[in-house]
Amino acid sequence: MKIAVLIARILLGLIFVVFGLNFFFHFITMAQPPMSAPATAFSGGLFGSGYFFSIYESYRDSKWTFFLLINRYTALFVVVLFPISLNVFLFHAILVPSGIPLGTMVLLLNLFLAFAYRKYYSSLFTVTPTV
Amino acid sequence: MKITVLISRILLGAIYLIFGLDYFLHFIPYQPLHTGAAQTFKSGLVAAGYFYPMLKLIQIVAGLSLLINRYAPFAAVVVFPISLNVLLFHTLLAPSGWLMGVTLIVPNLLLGWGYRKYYRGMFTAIPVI
Repeated sequence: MKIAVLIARILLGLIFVVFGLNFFFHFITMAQPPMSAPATAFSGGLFGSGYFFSIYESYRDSKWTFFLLINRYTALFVVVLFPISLNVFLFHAILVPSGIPLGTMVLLLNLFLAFAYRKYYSSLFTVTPTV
Repeated sequence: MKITVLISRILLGAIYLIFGLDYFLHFIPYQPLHTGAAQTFKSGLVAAGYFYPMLKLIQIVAGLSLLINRYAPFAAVVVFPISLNVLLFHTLLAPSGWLMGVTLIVPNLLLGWGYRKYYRGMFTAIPVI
């Protein structure tokens, strides 16, 4: 379990750091796979907003997932990254099927880490909290 | 703090439940008209097909959970990315709606503070397996 978590943590951290930094520095020269019309409209819309990709998502990817690599506040960043992983999976599963392996891998790694760190989330799932 | 959390919980839950249900049932007659980047952004999200139904379903479930006070600390975390984006959307792209963004992010942050003891485990600096 220790080894599996280590591998999952490094792998997920690397994927997000590499793709997050690539948004700013464009070092992945591989051609983007052709996208269907809805997929193009979706990412065009996210780009068109100006703020979403630049200051929000990629900033978060590249800087925050660094915490996964150095193993600080990992339980927190597994939660922070989950909405991104879920959407990477759904985007690829529904709109760009050629990317399903990547989407599935990201989602599974994230879910596995959440399972591994479950004891840190137990109080989060309190049914009736007191203030 | 008890009263603050109660008000925040009801306010946040009601807004998310109402606007979530409105997406499927269309009972709010007023629909804002967006232009420029706001419109590009929104039509992109609509074009994805899956995005809005997923978003609105999360809003309904989390809104209900907040209103009936079941799993409220979890629901507050689930809707936080939505509140943050409503705030950013309504300040950067459609500033006329800024009040909506503030009405979501403020109670959401207050709940985060009120329930902080339930998040303590999540903020462990070096978690061990």
